[in-house]
Amino acid sequence: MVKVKTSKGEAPLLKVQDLQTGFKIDGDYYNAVEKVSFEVKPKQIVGIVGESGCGKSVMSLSVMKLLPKGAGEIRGGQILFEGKDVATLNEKQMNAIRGKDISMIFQEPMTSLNPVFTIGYQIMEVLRNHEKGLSKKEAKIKTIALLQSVGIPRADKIVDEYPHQLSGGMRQRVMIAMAIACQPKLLIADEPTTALDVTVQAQILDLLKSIQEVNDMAIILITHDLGVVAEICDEVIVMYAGKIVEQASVEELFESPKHPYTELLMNAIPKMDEDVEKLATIDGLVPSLTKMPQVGCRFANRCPKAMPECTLITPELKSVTGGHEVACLLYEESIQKEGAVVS
Amino acid sequence: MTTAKELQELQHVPVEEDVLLEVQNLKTYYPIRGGFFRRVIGNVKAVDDISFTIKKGETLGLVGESGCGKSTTGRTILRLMKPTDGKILFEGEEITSLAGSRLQKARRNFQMIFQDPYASLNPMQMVGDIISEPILNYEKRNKKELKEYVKNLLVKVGLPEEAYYKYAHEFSGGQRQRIGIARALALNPKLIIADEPVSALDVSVQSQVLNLLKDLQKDFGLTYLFIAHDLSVVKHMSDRIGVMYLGNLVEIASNKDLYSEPLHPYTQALISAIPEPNPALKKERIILQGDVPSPANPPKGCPFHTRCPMAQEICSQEKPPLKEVKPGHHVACVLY
Repeated sequence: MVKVKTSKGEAPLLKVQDLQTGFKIDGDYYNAVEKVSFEVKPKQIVGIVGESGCGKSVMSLSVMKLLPKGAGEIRGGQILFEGKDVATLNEKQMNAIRGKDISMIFQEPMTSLNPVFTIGYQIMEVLRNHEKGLSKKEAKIKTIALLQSVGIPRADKIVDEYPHQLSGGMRQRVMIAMAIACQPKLLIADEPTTALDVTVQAQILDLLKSIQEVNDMAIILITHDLGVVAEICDEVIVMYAGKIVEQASVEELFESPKHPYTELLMNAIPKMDEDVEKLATIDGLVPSLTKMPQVGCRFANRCPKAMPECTLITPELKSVTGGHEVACLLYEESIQKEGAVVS
Repeated sequence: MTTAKELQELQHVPVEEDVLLEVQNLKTYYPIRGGFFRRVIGNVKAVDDISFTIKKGETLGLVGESGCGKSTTGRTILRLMKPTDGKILFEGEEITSLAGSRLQKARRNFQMIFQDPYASLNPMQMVGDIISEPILNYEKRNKKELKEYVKNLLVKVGLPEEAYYKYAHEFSGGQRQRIGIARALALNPKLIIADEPVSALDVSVQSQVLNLLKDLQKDFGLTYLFIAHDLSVVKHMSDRIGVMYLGNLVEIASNKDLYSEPLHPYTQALISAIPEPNPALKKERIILQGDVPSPANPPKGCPFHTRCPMAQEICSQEKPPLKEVKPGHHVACVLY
């Protein structure tokens, strides 16, 4: 596999700056994503990993502005897509971007496809929404070509079939065809292979990778599977309890994980090439939104390397070696002497 | 030259008491009903003629993709399903045809841990009652003694004693799975069938449950049939592993042999498809074409020939039997 390396100087496609997304619980807002900043460069595949409840999905829904109305809200920060702040756009402006410049695929292909419309109808809808003046006939030809490009056999027949007639892997291919219909610059894939079998997962990852190369598309891949990340990502972001705890290139992260959370995550999975009697475990749970510690490291109560300072000082995401950033007091001294923010 | 150890292995014929469970030519079909009077118009061959044994104290892993029949195999062994054909022998006694009170008596020795810790616990029952129920099904116990026993069990699976008085919704996924494990242990069974016990859990919690299952196996001398789709998890847990495809057992071997030298093309593809959490280890992947055929209409001949990269003409005509090609390594493929 050839990794697409992008030069450091290139302008980011997506730049998220201090994003805060909150949910209203009993009248008060609690932030599920707390001051998260990261960049996605053109043609880059960025993986976001973490346990459930870490804010991975909420962050991606914020970028798409698909948060549940009334309950969730972007409370601060900027989401710059090609320099334009998406966070301030209204629904109509957002609709012009969604599906055209940024699109998304979800974990469960069955619940994201409409069971009462044919597959062809659903893909043509996307095409005709964004390309005004496209005739029905042209749209259908384009749809068949799209289905073929994602490796669906008998594409000319499948356009007239319904989602329930397809297998899980085929449905995910349809979702991908729909997402890439307008050749978006950024694809957000939220656990795209979690519901699939391992041989089908290999097919889908292969497909995503080849589409990314052909279409020059950037991908944000949200997953809890470190294996999938190692397989196709260029850059990895590790999230814990709504914050980024570590960010590095994929080689660097797997070679020398810095944050204790990342280390534990890696040692908790059984490996194919080694035998261990005991797997690493992480005691306790991700703190719930309402009980999130406001000061100190959010991982401190589960961290085997926690020091007394960890509950008093909030670690900031700082660079350790070129491009490798970590938010942990263990690495604080090596960066700068007085850097810690004492609250 | 054969070493003494190999000789011993060759001569090793499983003695009656060594084998806990023996499955012979097991078939489980689900009828498809349709047409006038909802007659049976076909069968979904969920499990189609499989045989294997499990020895006392060992863990047999069953892997395969969804729809390959691994869960049905587990359910049939527990006699939650009636087998269409074949025999299941538990400690030498045939349990296939048991019914009524004799079946209930036999069932005491095998228990199940389910996949979904949210759906498999009664939300209206106190955890203590959930765990006591299987015991009360079999014997009358002094209330105080029973409570003590259940609390002890809770501690053994890593929960606090107070969990006894709580309800399922008060626990996290991993903790609920621990409750499910305590319930399975309550009757001191000989065989535990764990059907995807960790697939609904986060990795950090998954490792806790896997460690717990291993510890309990040592403490209670348990035998496991461990069903999962995640090959790395199965590898971690099992002594021997069976690979299923479309209702058939295509390969069965010791943990080490299966991963170091997979013989069946399906096993090879399955192992190569696992995403390796190490970007430095780039490997050649075998990417299978297409999907698993429907078990209602399985292909003639070898069930895998429609997707097999090494398929020959004969594969579409004859179904290869499971053969022992090396000591303890069985494979069903014409290549061997």
